[in-house]
Amino acid sequence: MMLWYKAWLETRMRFVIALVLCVAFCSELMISLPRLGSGKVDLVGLHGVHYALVFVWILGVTLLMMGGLLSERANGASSFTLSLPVSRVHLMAVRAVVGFIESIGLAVVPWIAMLILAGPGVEARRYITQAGLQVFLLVVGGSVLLAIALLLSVLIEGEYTAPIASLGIIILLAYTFSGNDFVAYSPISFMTGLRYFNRLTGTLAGAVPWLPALAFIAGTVCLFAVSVQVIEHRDF
Amino acid sequence: MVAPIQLQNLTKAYGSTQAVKDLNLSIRPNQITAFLGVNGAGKTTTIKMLLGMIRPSNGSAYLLGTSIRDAKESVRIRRDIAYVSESKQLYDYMTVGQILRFTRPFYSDWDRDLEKELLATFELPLDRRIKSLSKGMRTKTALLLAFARRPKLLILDEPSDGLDPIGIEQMLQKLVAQCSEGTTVFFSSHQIAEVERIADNVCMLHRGSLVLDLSMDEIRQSYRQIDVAFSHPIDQAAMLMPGVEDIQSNGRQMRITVRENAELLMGRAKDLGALSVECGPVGLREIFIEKAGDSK
Repeated sequence: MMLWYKAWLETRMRFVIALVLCVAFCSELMISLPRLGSGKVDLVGLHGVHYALVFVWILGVTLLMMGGLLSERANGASSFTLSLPVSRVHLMAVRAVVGFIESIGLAVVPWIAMLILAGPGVEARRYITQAGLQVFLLVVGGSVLLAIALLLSVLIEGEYTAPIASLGIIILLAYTFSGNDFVAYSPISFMTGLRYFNRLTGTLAGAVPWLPALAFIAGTVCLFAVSVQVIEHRDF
Repeated sequence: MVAPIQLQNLTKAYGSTQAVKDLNLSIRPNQITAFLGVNGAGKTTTIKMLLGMIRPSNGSAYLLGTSIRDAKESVRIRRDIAYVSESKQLYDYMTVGQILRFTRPFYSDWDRDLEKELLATFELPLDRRIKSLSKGMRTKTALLLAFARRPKLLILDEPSDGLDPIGIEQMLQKLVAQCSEGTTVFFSSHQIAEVERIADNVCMLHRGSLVLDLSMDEIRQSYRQIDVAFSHPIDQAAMLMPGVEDIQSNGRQMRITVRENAELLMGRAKDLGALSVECGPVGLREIFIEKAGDSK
């Protein structure tokens, strides 16, 4: 239980900063969007804001995944952590789960702000359903990026080197998968929902893309397993 | 009774450099053992291997009877072991109160009364962030976290580093008190005076190898320093015999450190026409310098 407490204390400041950034960014965009006659923002507009949110979310998640044992080694605190009666796998798992929960927060809270500012009125249920789907795509696709950030944090020493490298790899991924042949495998494309949402209505076109979602979850699990192996075999 | 720390040919190599070489050591239970050596001798590497932070290249080690290579058991026995690292770094983002709250639940034997007593003795402010504490205060916090868990084995890496003389005194008294209550203490230090004051046993590492493993009583009884003056220059080789650890000579005068055969050596010096022969005890400092001196 106390490892959760530690992970929260370690990341809470970065989480709050990232959350404020995401909410402020989305709110600013929402305010500037054109409104329908009823005063509400349509789902197409919301989808556009979601697209922008994806990139701020990536920055936020990269911030969240700073830290960990390698970073603690740089400042000397890893000796204290590793002398505790807990395994390295346990330490990693708690850090990953807390990061994942916080990343959900970074997707859900800005969307709540967006929905409030959209003023859906009687269409609230439809708006919430579509919002839920967008958050699902963002979090599931984003879990791969979270796992990449986690892996780099156990491979690269230095407080800021790992997150910078992580952003570099994400940009490289976005560039590599931007061609039409590979776009289906792009976690960023999945997160934005561009391939799954109707651009004219702003709603999900067709069924929920479970198969790609499962593939991204499997990728996340694999990356986490590699991170565990790396940390298990590292000398501190 | 099982030795709290037992090392068998423990080795750690980084490429072609051997940080620790075939280390064989057995620490006596319920006693204070000092682990000496110059910087880079391999003390911290050895301690980190014991705690599973560094993987040994070869050999084996047992902590409280459990192999350090068994990852699962290594986690379990850490409940009975307290460690204060050389850096004394804790989590900068926590306050003293938060790190106490964080650490307590890991240890079923945590002593709240001792925690309160140490908080008062060390004058640690509960609401201050670790980041804003001085090095001495950080060291005291790290020591409190180690002492209050009532460990069976206490491993300390340079525990007095950063402490003022009062802090050092408090720490030494606490170490002796914990030992008298059944804790085995294993600590590395450069402070010979501290070691001579509280240690029951001394191990010395030099370039990764064990060069001394004796009790303080054995050191006091067996080590002697013999000063010999001759009227004419004498070859050092004439004074070599089993038990001679070191000879410093400027031709007519010699200072010889012996571990045994002091009487025999004094007799030989007289046979060689020595003008004066004086024999006295040897301090740990002299032994340390003699054992580790060739690296300087």
